[in-house]
Amino acid sequence: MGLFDIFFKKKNTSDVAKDRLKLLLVSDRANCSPDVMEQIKNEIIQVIAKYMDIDTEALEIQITSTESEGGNGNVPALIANIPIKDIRQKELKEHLKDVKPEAKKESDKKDEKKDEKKDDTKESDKTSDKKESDKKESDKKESNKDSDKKDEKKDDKKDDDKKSSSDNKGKK
Amino acid sequence: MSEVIVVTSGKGGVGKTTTTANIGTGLAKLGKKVVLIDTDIGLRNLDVVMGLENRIVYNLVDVVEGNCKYKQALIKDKKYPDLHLLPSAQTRDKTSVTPEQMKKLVEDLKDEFDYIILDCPAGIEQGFKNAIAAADRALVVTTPEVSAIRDADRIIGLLNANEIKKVDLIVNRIRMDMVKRGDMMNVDDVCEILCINLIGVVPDDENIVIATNQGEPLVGDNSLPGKAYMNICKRILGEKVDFLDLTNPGFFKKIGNLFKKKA
Repeated sequence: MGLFDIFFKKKNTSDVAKDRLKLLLVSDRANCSPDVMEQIKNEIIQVIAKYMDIDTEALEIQITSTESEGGNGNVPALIANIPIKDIRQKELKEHLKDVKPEAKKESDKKDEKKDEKKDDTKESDKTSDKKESDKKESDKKESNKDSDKKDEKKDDKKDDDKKSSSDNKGKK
Repeated sequence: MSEVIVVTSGKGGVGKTTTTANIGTGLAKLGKKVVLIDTDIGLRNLDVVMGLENRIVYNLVDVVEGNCKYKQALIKDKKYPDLHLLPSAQTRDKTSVTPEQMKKLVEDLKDEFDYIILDCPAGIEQGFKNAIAAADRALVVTTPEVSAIRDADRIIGLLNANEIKKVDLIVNRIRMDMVKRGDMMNVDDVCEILCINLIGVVPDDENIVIATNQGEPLVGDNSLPGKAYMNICKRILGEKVDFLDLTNPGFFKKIGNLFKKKA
């Protein structure tokens, strides 16, 4: 009962109405259908997932109004709440995939292509693992390179990278 | 130079027709030549609010279809000879009239009248499009409720999209006792949300119901809404009029009591 009282005394129903309307009208005016919002959300996930490990299930986006920095009233804003699972985890995973640190500095597009490629090699790694479970990592890479011989220049270059990285490891 | 004003709201039942009747009558009281057009085809009501329902011979659809001349369809008000009503058709639907026909009709009426006031139907369909087609300015009526404000916001967007630049807000049916308690949004809240110029605030008042019962708009009498409507009329004419102080309960009660004694 006490809690009940505190709740209702603090918030007038007129304030509730005002707050609800403000939110509602911003999304009404932006004319954002749920489909568009979902699309925006998915694209945000795609971009951010390249750099860090995020909780895609808990990601929330919302069009709302917020106090403008200039102090002249409220301005509409797109607010995204993107929980990061572990800021270091992605880096670790990259290491497991055996990528040179320098590779990260390359342009986004290249990175993405490499990601795809990495996934491919990873899968083929697994298959090769089954066949030759005792072989060392560097050996595996080489076998991959052989199987991918028909691929384009870029891929070849990438494989070279990989080879060199595995070489580095070998040196260590 | 005549002005064409559309009274609209989006949501139904917020007081468009009452506002149209009172503003039309008020402008006539101030010496202007006024014609009110009820564009709500199929659900006509402006005639009963004006108390002219028994005089209807021809209607809006008859005029646009060429069954009669507009002068034959216009009904002269009981009290003010410069106030006329063009009633809507009761047995037809909204598709009987097109925006082009409305424009032509209003153009004809401009020769004779200072103010052409269009009572818009609820909704944003054909009836709304007809009503706003010929308008120079709009009065958006809303109440301090979420549903009415949301619809008003949509309407304001549509009016802007249709290049009606002069759009003013009337906050209708405000209850100062509820505002005081914090259970109703106040006028500032509504204006802040809708971001348009406020031209009038009309309190919720039983006198409105009484006036509608009698078919005589109360604009210009001693009641609070009567004063509020008269102030809106003056503002439409370009006068600067202070907003009524609706918060004073003593004053409010006094006016209410005065009316009770009269009745």
